Amino acid sequence: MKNVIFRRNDLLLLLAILVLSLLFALPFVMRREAGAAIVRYRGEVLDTVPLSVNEERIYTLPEGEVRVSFTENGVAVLSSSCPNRDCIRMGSVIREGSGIYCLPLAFSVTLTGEGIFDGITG
Amino acid sequence: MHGRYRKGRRIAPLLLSFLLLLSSCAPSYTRAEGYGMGTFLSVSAEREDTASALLPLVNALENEISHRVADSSVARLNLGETVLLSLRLKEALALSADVAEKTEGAFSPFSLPVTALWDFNGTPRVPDEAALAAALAQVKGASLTVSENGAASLIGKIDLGAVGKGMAADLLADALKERGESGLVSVGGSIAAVGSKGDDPWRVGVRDPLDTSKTVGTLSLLDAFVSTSGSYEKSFTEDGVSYHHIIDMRTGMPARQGLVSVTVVAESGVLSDILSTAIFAVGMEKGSALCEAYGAHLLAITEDGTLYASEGMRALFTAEKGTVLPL
Repeated sequence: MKNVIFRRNDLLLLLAILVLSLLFALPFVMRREAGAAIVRYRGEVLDTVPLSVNEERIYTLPEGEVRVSFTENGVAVLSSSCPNRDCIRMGSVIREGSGIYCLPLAFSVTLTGEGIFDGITG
Repeated sequence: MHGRYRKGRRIAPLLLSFLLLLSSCAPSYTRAEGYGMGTFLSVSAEREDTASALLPLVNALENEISHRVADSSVARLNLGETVLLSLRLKEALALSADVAEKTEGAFSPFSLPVTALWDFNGTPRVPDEAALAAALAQVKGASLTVSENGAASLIGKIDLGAVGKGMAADLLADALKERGESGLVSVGGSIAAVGSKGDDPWRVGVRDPLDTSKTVGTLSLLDAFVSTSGSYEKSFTEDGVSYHHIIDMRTGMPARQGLVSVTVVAESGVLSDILSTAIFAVGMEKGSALCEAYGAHLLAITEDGTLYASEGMRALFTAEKGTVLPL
């Protein structure tokens, strides 16, 4: 008699479990790979911009306007009503887990997604 | 034969299901952002309510340790009152005093007379020579007495600007641990990596001091704290000379040791914060010995962009390009 570990029905059962498990895992995998720039004002999310877009967006705050560029080369603040202009001097960020911050306006743009740092020191 | 078959039929599907479910159940993290201690804060935690609940803790700490807050413990000490210190503040001051001794005063927690003259958080200016000399005398003559029950009295004036962010990172890390969660907290660049990110270490970029829109490499951290001091963070130019905010308390002038960035990984936030400032003031050679004394790890970047790392740091840090020289 042959040494049989699995019969045909067992293999079908294994295949069904494999497919179901992959379907269950898929949302988690996709979420980890999604990349976006998250725009916040005073801690609240104003906007979520996929890293694939190429456009400028203007955010009108009570303190004035902030113009942000989102391109494949990175995210940059182009103009701001903030007197310090530190956010503009920071230039373009593309790989940082923490992005561009304006303390006086409490305005920030942070990059998220796989391959991006969890934090930046310095 | 039939036994092997029955065993294989029972175990294999269970094992396969377990492995697949395990791989798909890596924790996800929610991030909350805010502002406190004059800087940007963020908390990444497994639970959304944890991330948002932790941020206000920093404001409470600031109300305790900031000399700018009228009834903080530090402000009251600076006014000559006897103050009962919290354990966290007492330990931070003790560590500060220890580092001050080891650096022969290059770092000092009693720095307010000098930092107030430079006013880097307001209208920075080069202090008058006579005023600076008088301020330095106050710094060098300062002392803190703490009784066994934690009651403290001070001669001099305390400024915890070089310590506070590390203390805040410790506070947030402790809160995460109390909740049994892993996560990453950032207080203006003082970062606490609590546990791991799923099965992986936390990835923390080190900012390039010569181009702050870029990074020079990545730290892989598990249950560790990191802080960076850099001359690029705050500076001004007067009469064609650039002055940065990291003051050598032996001279009262910005430290000139050929460094532009010092990153320290240590077992606590307050230690990493203090050491990153102290090492900037004393330079790489003495700084390397200082790190070793405290079991910390050092990455130093010189004015020409060369990276130097201690042996322990080379195990944690991966440069993006070029060579990292040993300390």
